[in-house]
Amino acid sequence: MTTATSDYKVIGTRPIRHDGVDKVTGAAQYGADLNLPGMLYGRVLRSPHAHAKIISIDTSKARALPGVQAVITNSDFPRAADEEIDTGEGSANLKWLLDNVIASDKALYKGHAIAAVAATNHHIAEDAIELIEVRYEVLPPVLDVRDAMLETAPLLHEDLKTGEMDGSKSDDSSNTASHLRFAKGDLDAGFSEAEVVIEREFETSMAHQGYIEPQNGTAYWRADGTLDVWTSTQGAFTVRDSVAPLVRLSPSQVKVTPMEIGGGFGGKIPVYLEPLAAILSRDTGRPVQLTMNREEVLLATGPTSGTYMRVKMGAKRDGTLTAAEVYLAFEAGAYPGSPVGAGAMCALAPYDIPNQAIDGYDVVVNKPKTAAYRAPGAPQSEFATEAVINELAEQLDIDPLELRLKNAAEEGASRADGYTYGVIGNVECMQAAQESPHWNSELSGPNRGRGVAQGFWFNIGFESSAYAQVNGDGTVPLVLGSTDIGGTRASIAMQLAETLGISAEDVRPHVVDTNSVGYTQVTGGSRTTFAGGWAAHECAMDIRRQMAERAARIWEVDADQVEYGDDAVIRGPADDEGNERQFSFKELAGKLVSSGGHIVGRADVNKTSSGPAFATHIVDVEVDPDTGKVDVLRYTAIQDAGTAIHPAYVEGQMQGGATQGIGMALNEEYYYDENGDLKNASLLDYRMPTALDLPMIDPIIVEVPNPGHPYGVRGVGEVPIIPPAPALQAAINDAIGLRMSNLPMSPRAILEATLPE
Amino acid sequence: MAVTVLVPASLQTLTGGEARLIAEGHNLRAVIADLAKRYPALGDRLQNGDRLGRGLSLAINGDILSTGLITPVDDNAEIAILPQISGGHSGGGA
Repeated sequence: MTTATSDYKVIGTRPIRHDGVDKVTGAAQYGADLNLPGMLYGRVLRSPHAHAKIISIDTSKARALPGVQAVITNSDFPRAADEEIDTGEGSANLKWLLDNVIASDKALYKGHAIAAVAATNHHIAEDAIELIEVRYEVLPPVLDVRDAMLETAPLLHEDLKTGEMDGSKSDDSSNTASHLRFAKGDLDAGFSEAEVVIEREFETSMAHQGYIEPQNGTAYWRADGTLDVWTSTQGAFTVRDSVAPLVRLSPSQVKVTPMEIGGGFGGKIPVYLEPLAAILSRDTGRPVQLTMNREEVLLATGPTSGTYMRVKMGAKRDGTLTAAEVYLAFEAGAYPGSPVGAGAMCALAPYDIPNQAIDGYDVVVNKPKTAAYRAPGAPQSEFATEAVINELAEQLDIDPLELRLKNAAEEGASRADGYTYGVIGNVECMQAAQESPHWNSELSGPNRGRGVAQGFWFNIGFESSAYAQVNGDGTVPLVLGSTDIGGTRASIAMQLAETLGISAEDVRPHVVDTNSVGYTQVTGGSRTTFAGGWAAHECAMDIRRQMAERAARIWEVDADQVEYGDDAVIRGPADDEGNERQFSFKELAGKLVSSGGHIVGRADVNKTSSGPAFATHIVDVEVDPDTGKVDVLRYTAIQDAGTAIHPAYVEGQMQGGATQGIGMALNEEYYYDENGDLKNASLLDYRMPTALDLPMIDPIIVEVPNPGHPYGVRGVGEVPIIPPAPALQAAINDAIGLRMSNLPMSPRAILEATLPE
Repeated sequence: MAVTVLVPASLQTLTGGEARLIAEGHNLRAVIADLAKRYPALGDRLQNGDRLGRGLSLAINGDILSTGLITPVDDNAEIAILPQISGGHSGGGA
């Protein structure tokens, strides 16, 4: 379904991605493919304990092993101050950042890096870490968010106080790092007005992004004191701005080259290996490469938060929502910084509820430090609120989509955090769901059920750069700072092509290092096609202006007499004989060298507008009552893309996001024993859905153009991960009358809930 | 030049419980300075040197702040104080 009409020539088409051939032929270079002359190979020694004081580290035997070139611990880094640094998308405490890269006084989760080795080959490095002797004083771990909030809980950080948004701090130390609260209206009055009130508790497990390519990092500390880093990252500038202060270099001394990236989903924003490679290279004078194996990825990189949540919601008999109260406690992992703030802002975002209060708590536990994961915080908080919306619909005997439409946030509605919506496609998604073949189909058979849910994610803009040069043959190399995870080379190049009036194939996008393009923030926040496309549009407008000026110079007329048309024809005034004067883009490109030289367009944008996105998902399931297994029979994902630049990639994002959401909902969890030992640190045991587990995810693109973007773009990558869990929870309830309150709704969990004691 | 400032519940401890404030100023720095005359603690919280206070963001008529305190504000603008959305990496691990 499309609600917008356009006469775009490139936007809305489906050209083959520019990087496609390299990827399918294996020619694309990933971080672990890098092989530099004299390069050493590193390994990391990791803590076997979830919580322990580090009494001593003896590296002498490892250093003595032939082939070992360096062994480092936290003490080999410059002292990190207890200060905040910018990391491109938010900030980080420098001491905690370093301590997560390599532990100082305490190991705070199993897999926490303790020491690192550089050797002439992998095998020697592996042997060397076995020779490092570490004395620990093992401490009791705290693994559950509610346990961690107890006054009697073991403290991870003796000096951590609970911070409030107003800047105040608690008197006593706590594992609760911060509390925030949003509220509007009169909660008591709202619940007094309600005729039906539902209050429920929910829990969700830590879950990993599951990117295929493990983390890697290669560094070369040159003799002149500059540092080159090659890595798999969502943000080369973020890596630069994280690594530089950790190794006490200025950002201008650090060059980061983003290699091709095999998935990230938010998990490839933090640094883990790069600072270790840098210090090992400093100490050896040689390039050093570190790579993680899958177990290390699951043990020691950042998953999304496990949570405990409560939702209380009231409605009138006619379905009008009168009040909502939400309590969110999010595990941050070993250091503060869970996505509870975003979760709180998203929790009730699809609805216009007059009276509401949302409390959020950021809590440290003895698990790996959480990182961003696709719409960070929102899948959890909206699972809880959407589940209650669905239960209200059932109690009120109102169609769940009708209940949502009755209370849907529209232009002018405000969230509890104070943000007021502009033009959004929330209602349009719900209406598209109502009109979909799936919603209007019959579902029959035993143990089968249908569910629906809504999702919201902000999407952001901010800094992006695009530089492009016009070649003599009319092709245009385009230089970008955004690493391409989901087809953004194509989506950005297409916006440049649209503005110039040329074909997408005539634009050649390249992702380059931090010294070769203007500052560009991470590929994340669903911002890359939005802000990168805006930069490309402005870059193209710069080229159009210069092309028109060049034509004017060739024709010896005033520049204001020349016009660059959207058809890529540059037209000037008629000549003395009355003949029309015009150049095609390629004709003029061929005359650039002889008329003054090449033309380079550039744009560095910092966009404050955003593109809020909504999605509605419908799912049919069949539950096996003997095994508890849930089979997804049919799935439809509806989403407002604003304008779908490359519809195939929008559909891919919708399908990928829905698949990850289904995984979080039905199977994926970090499974710890009471000692904090992760028992499923492999992809055999950490069960992600495969193509064999799922039906086709049917995408329906809604287009309500974003007035805050030249081509109406909204981000598309994140919102589709949000609705699957509550839609599946409703479908399971519809199938077997079981309303699950915890994620994942795995076969074991369903059996435990349905079998007699 | 008057603007409306929306104060989230967590910061209303600094405004005596006020959720909507009227302030004067041609840019954010001037608006915060005007607020600080009446609510000094709020002024301290909103400004950290030449930057916005740690962990905070602002939306001006729905546009998220990205150009610092020199950002101009129009007459009758609505400014919402928001937490910074950091996607779960404001602490260690970037």
